[in-house]
Amino acid sequence: MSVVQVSTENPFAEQWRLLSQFSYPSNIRKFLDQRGFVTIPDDNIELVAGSMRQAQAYFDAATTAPLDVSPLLLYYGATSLLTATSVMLSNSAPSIENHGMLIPRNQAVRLADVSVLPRNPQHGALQLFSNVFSNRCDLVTGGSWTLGELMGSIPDLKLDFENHYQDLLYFTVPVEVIYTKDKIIERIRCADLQRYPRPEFAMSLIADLRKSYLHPQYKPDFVILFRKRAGVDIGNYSITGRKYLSLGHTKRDKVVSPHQIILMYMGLYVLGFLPRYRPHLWNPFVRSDVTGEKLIIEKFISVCIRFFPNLVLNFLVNGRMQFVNMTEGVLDLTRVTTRDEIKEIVKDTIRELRATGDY
Amino acid sequence: MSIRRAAYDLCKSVWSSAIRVDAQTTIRNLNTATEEQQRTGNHRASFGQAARHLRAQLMGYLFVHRDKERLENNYPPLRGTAGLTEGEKRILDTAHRQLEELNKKCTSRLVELDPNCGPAVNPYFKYGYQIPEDVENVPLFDVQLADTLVDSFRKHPAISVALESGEKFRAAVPEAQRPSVTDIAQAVLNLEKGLLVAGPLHAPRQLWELLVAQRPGAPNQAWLDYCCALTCINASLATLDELLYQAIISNRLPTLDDDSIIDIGNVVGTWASTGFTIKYQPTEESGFGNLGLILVKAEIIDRRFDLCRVEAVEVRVSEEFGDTVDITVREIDENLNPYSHLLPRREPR
Repeated sequence: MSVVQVSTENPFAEQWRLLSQFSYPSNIRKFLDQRGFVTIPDDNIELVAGSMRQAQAYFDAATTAPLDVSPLLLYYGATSLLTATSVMLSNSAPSIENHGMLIPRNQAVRLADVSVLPRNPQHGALQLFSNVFSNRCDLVTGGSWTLGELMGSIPDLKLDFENHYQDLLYFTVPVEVIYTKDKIIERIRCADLQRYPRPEFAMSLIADLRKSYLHPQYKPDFVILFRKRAGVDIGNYSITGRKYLSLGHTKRDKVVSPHQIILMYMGLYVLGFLPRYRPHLWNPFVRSDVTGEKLIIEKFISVCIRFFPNLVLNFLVNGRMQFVNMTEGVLDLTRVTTRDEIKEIVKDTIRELRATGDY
Repeated sequence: MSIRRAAYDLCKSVWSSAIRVDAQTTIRNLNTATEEQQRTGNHRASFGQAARHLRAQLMGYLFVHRDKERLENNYPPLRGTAGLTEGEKRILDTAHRQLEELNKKCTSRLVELDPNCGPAVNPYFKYGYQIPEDVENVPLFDVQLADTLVDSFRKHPAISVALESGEKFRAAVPEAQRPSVTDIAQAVLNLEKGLLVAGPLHAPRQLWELLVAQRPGAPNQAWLDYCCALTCINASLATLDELLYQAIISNRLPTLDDDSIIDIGNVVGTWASTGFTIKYQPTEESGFGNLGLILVKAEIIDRRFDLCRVEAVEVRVSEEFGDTVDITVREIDENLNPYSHLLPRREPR
C-alpha cells in the first residue's frame, strides 16, 4: 500500500478538507467515473454528498461536546461517513435497516466488560460495512465482543490499555522496521507479547502472516520477520505511522481479525449506546470514575475523532495517508552518504596513502 | 528428454539402490560426532571436512584417505584422525566406480573420435586415483535409467562443438605443434579455475580478451572453442556426479522458494554463464549455507530457474536482526552445464 504524505499543521482540519470535496456532486461523479462506473444514479450522488456533510457536522460537534454525548455524536458521524464511502467504493447504496449490533443485558463491573453482539448479516450496518471495509470479515456468527477487546485492538491505545487493564489481552503488537543497506528487517519485542503463553502462540493469531512474511525467527528478545518477495502488507498503522500487527480474536473456534475502522465503529456503538440506553451505568462513570478507566475512554474518543476520517481517506485514495508537519522542498543529505561521496572518500584515502608512501 | 530430467530420474533410483544405505552411513560417520566423541576427540569429522572441501563427491573421501599423510601438513586437524576402514573404502570404491563408468559411457563416442580429450572431460582425472580391480558389483542406480541418461548426454551440444572445433584445430596446426593430452586437460583445468575465481557474476578478464581478439576461422579460435566445449562437458559431468552423490546422502537438494527467499539480486549474464545473488532465511529445506547444488524455485523477472550451483556463501547470525544467508549462484542449464555461454554463439547474455 502506497503512503501519501500530506504536510499540514492541522491534520484534523486537513483530512476533513480533503473529505469535504465529496460533498460536491461534481466531485463525487468524477470519482465514480474514474473508478469505471458507467451508470451513476443521482440518488447515490446525493446520498454521498448529504452523508459527508452530516458526518463532518457530527465530528465537529463531537470535538467540543462533553463525554455525555460525544461518543453518540461520533457514532452517528462514523455511520454517515462509512455510508458515504461505501457508496463511493461500490456505487450502490447499502441496504441498511438497523445497527447490526445490540448490547446484551448483562452485568459489567467496568466499561471494558460491556459486550456488544453483532447480528443481522443481511441488513445490519455493521456486517454490511465489514463487507466493504474489512474484506467481508464475518462478524455475526462469532458471538459477542467486549469493549475491552475492541479498545485493545487499536494501535494508538496500546500503552494506556496495557497500563490500565492488567488482566486483559491486547490484540495489536508494535513492529520495529529496520532498514539496512541490503535488507529490511521487521521485528517484534518479545516483551510486547508477554501476556500470551508463548510468542509462537501469539504469532499464530496474526491473520495472513504467512502470506506476508517468511516463517518467524524466534530469538530470546525478538521475533524477527522478513517480508516475502511478493508479500502483501498486513500492517495496521497508528496515527503517527508506526506499524503494528493485529492479533486475531478467537470467536467460536474461528480467528477473526476485523479492520481497525470496524473495531472503532463497534466501540463507538457501545459508547454511544450506553449514555442513551444505560444512563444508570454511564452517568456515574462520567461523573465520578475513580478507577482511571475514563482516561482510556477519553483517549479512545480522541483517537476516533482524529483517525477515523483518516482511515476513511485511506480507502478512498487506496493508500495510507500520513499527515506530517515538516518543511516541504528540502532534501537533507547530511545524514546519508551518496555513492559519489564514497568514491571521493576512497580516492582521498588512496591519495593520502600514496603521499605517505604506504600504498 | 533433457539431460537434467534424465539425471533427476536416475537420482531417484539411487534412493532404492542396494548400496545406498551403506554409502550413506559411511559418509555420515565421517562427518558427524556424538557429544561423547567430541569430548574424547575420537571422531573423524575433520576427515569428512577435508574430503568435502575437495568438492569431489565420493572421490574426496578416497583421495583424502590415500593422501592423508601429505594432506596433514596443510590441514593439521587430520593428524591423529583415523582413515577409512577396509569395509568403508570398499563401499566408497564400489559406488565411485559406477560414477566413473557412467561418466565414461556419456563421453565414449566423443573419446572414440578424439582420444586426446579423454582426460580433459573426466572430472576425476586430476586426482589420479586408481580404482581397485576387485571392487564388488552392487548397483548404485537403475541400469535402464542410466542408459537413458547416457543417450541424452551424448546429444550434449558441447560434444558436437568439441568434435567440430577439435577437427578444425588439428587441420590448421601441424601435429608436432599440437598440445599433448595432458596439455589439453591442463587447459581445461585452468579455464575452469579462472571461471571459479572470477565467480558467477563475472567472467575472467583474460577469457574476455581472448574472445574479443579472435579472428573468425583462426586456429586460435578453434582451440578456444575446443577448450570451452571440453570444459562444458567436464563441468556437466561433474554436475551429474554431484547430483548422484547428493542422492546418496539425502532425499532432496536444498531448495529455495518464496517461503525462504528474502531477496534476489540482479541476474547477470557474462561470457561464461548466468549468475545472481540470493538472500534467504535458513531453514531445514533451504539449508544453512553450503556450497554446491541447490534448487531455486522462484521466478525472477518472468524467468524461472531450477538447478543452480552455490559458489559463495556468507552466513549472518544475529539475535537482534535475525539469521540470513547470502549466496552467489551460477545457473545450471538443462544439459547440466554451468557454463553454457561458453558455447557458440558466445556473448554476454
